[in-house]
Amino acid sequence: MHRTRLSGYLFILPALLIFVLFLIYPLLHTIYLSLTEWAGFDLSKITFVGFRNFKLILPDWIFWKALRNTMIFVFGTTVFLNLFGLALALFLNNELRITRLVRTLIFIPVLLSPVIVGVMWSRIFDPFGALNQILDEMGIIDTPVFWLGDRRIALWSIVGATVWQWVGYDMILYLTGLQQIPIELYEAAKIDGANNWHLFRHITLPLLKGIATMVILLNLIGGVRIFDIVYVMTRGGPNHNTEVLGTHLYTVAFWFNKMGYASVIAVIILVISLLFAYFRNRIMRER
Amino acid sequence: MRKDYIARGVVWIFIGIGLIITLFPFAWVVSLSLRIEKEVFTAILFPEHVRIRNYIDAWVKFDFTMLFKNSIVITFTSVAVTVFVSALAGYGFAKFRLKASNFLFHLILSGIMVPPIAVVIPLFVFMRRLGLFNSYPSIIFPYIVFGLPIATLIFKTYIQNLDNDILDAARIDGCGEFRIFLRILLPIIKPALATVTIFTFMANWNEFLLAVIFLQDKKLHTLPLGMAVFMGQYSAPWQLIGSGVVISILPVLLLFFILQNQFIRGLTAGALK
Repeated sequence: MHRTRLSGYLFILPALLIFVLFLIYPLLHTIYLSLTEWAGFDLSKITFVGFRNFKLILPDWIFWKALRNTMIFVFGTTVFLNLFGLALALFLNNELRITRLVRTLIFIPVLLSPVIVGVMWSRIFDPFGALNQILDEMGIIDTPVFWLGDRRIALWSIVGATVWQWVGYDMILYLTGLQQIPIELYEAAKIDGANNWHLFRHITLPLLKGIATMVILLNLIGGVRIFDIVYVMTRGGPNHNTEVLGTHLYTVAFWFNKMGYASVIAVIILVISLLFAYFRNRIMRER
Repeated sequence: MRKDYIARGVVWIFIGIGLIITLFPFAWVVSLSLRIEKEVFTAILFPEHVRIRNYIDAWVKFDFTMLFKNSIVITFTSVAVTVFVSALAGYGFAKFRLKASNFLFHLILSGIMVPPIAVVIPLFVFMRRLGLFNSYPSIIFPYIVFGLPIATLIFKTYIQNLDNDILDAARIDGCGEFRIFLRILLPIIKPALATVTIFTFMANWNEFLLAVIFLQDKKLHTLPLGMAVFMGQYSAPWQLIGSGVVISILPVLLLFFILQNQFIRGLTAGALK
């Protein structure tokens, strides 16, 4: 068996080059930029200001609102995605033809770009849109609800559209978990006289714990990245009540050209993501 | 036994409601896309008049010829490069005993944790300095780098589980390492190739954040970008938005119904690793 070291490294080299150039370097540069002041595009005018940009965060009320909204979004979507995803997986865990069809249909929204989902749902949520029409027809409301215009509802409407898109994804992941549970366990328990609730409580739930942790952390990590759907549906409005970290960074950097301060927000998004990722890795290692 | 029936009934009601909520937006958008202007706000699902010409109007107004062209060029190039480069790396990591292998692999893998928005500002600066801003490469390179970590992981895992016999036999015959990769390895890792292709294809086809920052020239706009821009105009007629949505999701839906299982496997492959 003869394998030269050199050819091994040559196989890895292209990936490594692209990776260093377009990810490692920008990552370090983000941290550097967060310590500089620099407006516009002229790179020769960068000045090093140390941690001054970080001090700008305290009085930036939009940032705190965005942070709060991001956290509400992250935990809101995670709770509902897991609740409905798990329920669907439990109910659709057989190989009947109709079940397979239902599963496929529920998976469809996963294929869409969040932009398309945003476009569809912003029409549905419009004061003159489908949702108000239906609720009006059913006699539930007399005056239109401003699903995206009311500051108490808007963020939850976006949570709803996001859950609509991704519930099929969580369902499939939970199904993978359910199918790994050996049938013999259920059969043995049934012989011992266990009913359905007992089976669920003492076999299914404990054995799903591992996969549930994975799915939950996956949803948390994905939630922090929210940007597209807010950009399309509300642009952070009304009055920043759906502003999230991603859209705030985008506005600060590419509308107000405050690249230094925007880099501080980038560093904060990075830190939150790495924290969630750290928990994920620790749990993975324990398994 | 009666309790069993009731329980089953409740389950199917839950599934039925879930199904209606999932499918109604699609039915509504299709209905919207066929309406005449007067009926946009009056009908819920079934308009009295049907106007198929909306699709032609939408095609022209959105300039779908251009949007599809850009999306296809950008997605196909970035997917092809990602698949090739990460298959090479996966092979390098899986079948060569390199001192730095473990470190380098985990370095690339750590890219999974980095959200694109965290590096978008320096990437923007970098692209400007390279003179690539507002060009296909300015979006293709970031797409490649964000696809690499999971793709490399999938290839490495798959190749690791392959027998060495075939590769060694080829080596004894005097084949060069790169020829072995092309002629012998690539054909036997087809399932992994399919998974990675679908995964990166969907991610790049639907991507918006990087596109909105790097492609400010309207002539370079991709499908999601074109839709978002059109939505942003207050005068955008609803029925054309409807037709636009239908046009832009139809190709992916068709692909999905042909390759259902591969799609579901491909899209969930990286999730639990």
